[in-house]
Amino acid sequence: MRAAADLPAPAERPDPLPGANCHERSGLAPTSTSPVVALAGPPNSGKSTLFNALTGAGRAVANYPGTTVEIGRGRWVVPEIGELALADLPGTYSLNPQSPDEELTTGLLRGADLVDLVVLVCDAAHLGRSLVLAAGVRELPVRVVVALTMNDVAADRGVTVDAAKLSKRLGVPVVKVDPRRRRETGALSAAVVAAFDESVPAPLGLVPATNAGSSPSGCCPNCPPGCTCGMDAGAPDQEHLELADAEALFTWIAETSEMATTRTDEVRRNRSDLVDRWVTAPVLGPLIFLAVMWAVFQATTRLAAPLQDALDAFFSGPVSAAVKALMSALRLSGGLIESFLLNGIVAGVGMLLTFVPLMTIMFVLLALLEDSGYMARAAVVTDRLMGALGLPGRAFLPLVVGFGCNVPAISAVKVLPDARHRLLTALLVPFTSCTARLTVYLMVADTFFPGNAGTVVFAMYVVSILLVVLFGLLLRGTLFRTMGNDPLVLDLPPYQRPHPRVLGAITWTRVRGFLETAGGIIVATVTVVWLLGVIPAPGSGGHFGAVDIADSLYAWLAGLVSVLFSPAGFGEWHAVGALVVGFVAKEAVISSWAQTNAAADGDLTGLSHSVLADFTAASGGHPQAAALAFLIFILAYTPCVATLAVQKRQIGLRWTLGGVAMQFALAWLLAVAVFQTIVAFS
Amino acid sequence: MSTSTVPAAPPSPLQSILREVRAGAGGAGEVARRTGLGVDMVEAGLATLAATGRIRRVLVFASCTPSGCGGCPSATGCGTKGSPVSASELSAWRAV
Repeated sequence: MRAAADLPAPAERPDPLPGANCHERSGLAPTSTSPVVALAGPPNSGKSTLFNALTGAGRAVANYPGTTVEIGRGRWVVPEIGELALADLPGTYSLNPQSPDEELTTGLLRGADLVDLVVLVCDAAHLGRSLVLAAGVRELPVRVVVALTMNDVAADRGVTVDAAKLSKRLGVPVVKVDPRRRRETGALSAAVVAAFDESVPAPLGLVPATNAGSSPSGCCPNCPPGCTCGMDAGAPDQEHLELADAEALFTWIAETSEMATTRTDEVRRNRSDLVDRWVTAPVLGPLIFLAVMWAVFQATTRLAAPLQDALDAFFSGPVSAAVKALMSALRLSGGLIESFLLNGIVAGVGMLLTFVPLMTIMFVLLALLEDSGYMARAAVVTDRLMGALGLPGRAFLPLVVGFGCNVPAISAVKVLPDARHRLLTALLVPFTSCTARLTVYLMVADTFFPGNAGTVVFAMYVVSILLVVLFGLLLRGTLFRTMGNDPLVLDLPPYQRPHPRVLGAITWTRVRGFLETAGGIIVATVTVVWLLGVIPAPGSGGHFGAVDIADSLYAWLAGLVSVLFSPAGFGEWHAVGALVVGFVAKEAVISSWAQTNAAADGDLTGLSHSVLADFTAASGGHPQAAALAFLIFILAYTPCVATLAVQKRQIGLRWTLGGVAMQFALAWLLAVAVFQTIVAFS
Repeated sequence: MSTSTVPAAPPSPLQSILREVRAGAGGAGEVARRTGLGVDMVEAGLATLAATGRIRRVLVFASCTPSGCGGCPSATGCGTKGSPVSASELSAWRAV
């Protein structure tokens, strides 16, 4: 049995990283005497799962000294040796770094004084891709043991990798492991022990050890004079592989993969590809996406309706009764406090909380689509649509995120490489319909279009997409004419059976966000609305706290603004007041609407009836046309103040204010156009 | 006097893959269909091309994964009210 102290001492090597040298082995090793074993591999190759299996999930995550990159560290106890310091390095596809994370991995692997042995994780289901890194690591003077993961996934696709053949080809031990079931980790330990007994293996000699080289002076060897294939376009950095070396490497990978792999069932592999052919097809793909989203909204509205009704009855019944009883017991009946609790908190926040079951169901369904891998295919469809319209392909990310919440979506524009791309996308994001707006759609759709609420909500999302496209084209044809495109090949994750734990985590995170909004900013707006509702309007003659809501300062102020919306059919103070409050957050539209109607009607029930009556009167007998105009306005005007704050940070105050003006003008024009058109043809 | 022209050699697999990246194919499967290569070889080719500096891997969608928030484009929005999370990361290859 060997002790850790008996292991070969690392050789002196130059500093591999700025800020990382031999004195910073502590960045990898918990104790300076522990031999350091680095886990390296491509992203999503099962590296971290193997790390957890080897260390018993004893993971400490911290920034590597001198960098902002996180690495995982843990102790791997191997009986024959003792304790090894295991470092889970950031995933990388090659030793030619593409990011700070990969730069750290590359630097640590190149520094033999930092790492005593590399456990190279190769994904059997994506062997070719794994071999790019394997070839690079095998040029380094370091002990290597290959851990072959994802063998079950490969088997499902009819692919078997022969570990012995692969080992012979790579010149280092190859061990099949199944870290998810914690199998074969003993075999990996034995291989590591054996590797420590051996000398450092000789390099394969496939590519230069440093991968350094000058920029290519001409075209690739296969090209004739005058070739325009573009392979010589753009001078690579000094760190990059020469093209001729890359061609040789690719040939070696193809040969190795062919030699070590047995394909027993091509049909199974093609089944996933076949699904992708349909769901990412140019015409059928978008139609499938729309159909899927329609089904999501249908299921959401139908499944949630009874739950929502039950919660509504709960707040308007037992909760209201309890508040009244408490106020009576405290001898505060009929006072301002009771008014605030009943007409403010219970009516406003309570109404919003009735949407929790609905939001939960929708979040679960969307999480199902994400975790199954379908949403990535939807991104392909969106990317292609953006590209066809001449919009930047990568802009689809913030736009897709925007359908969840506009705030992180606008933050995400920073991934765009071009300032004009960032500006254009930040101006388009507010037209993506966030989940906060969904509550308003559902309430209005259920009130004015009972039985077709799901379809109406779905239509709002279609209109949202159309607005993004049309407004994008308008800007592209005017202010952003010189902007180029940015084609992409998406790295699609495999389809998988959704995991309940992941679904639960995603859903809870989103529901919690909704609840935090209801408990924070909505309580604040409810308070302000209630306060304005108990202050008498100028000339009304009432007293503070003893005024009808229709004679309040709130109604008076909303009435002043409501004139603007008469051409759109909803120029009445309840709706317009809710729109103004909705500038803070769209959930506040529902709460303030419920508040003012509860105060007027004296109870919580019948909000739908009140809204229907208000719209009927304001629209001259065309409540559905006015409701659609209202929904369009909700969709197109400023999402919330938080969006403006992040917009200002990303694109500056001038463009932010310009965007607000454009959104308001467009929202108003569309609302008026919708109302007037429907009325004209009805 | 006639001038002789050198017939164009067929593009190498790496050249074919690079051409598809520049065209903006939907995914490795689509590149495989267009080039006649296997998906695994397309993936290997993409990683190899990245090593030459001709293409780059970019993160286009990140999630709250155990790997942390370092590269997440939504990092500043993460943890805010209603901020989205996702079950997986979505990356892409783009030509440099």
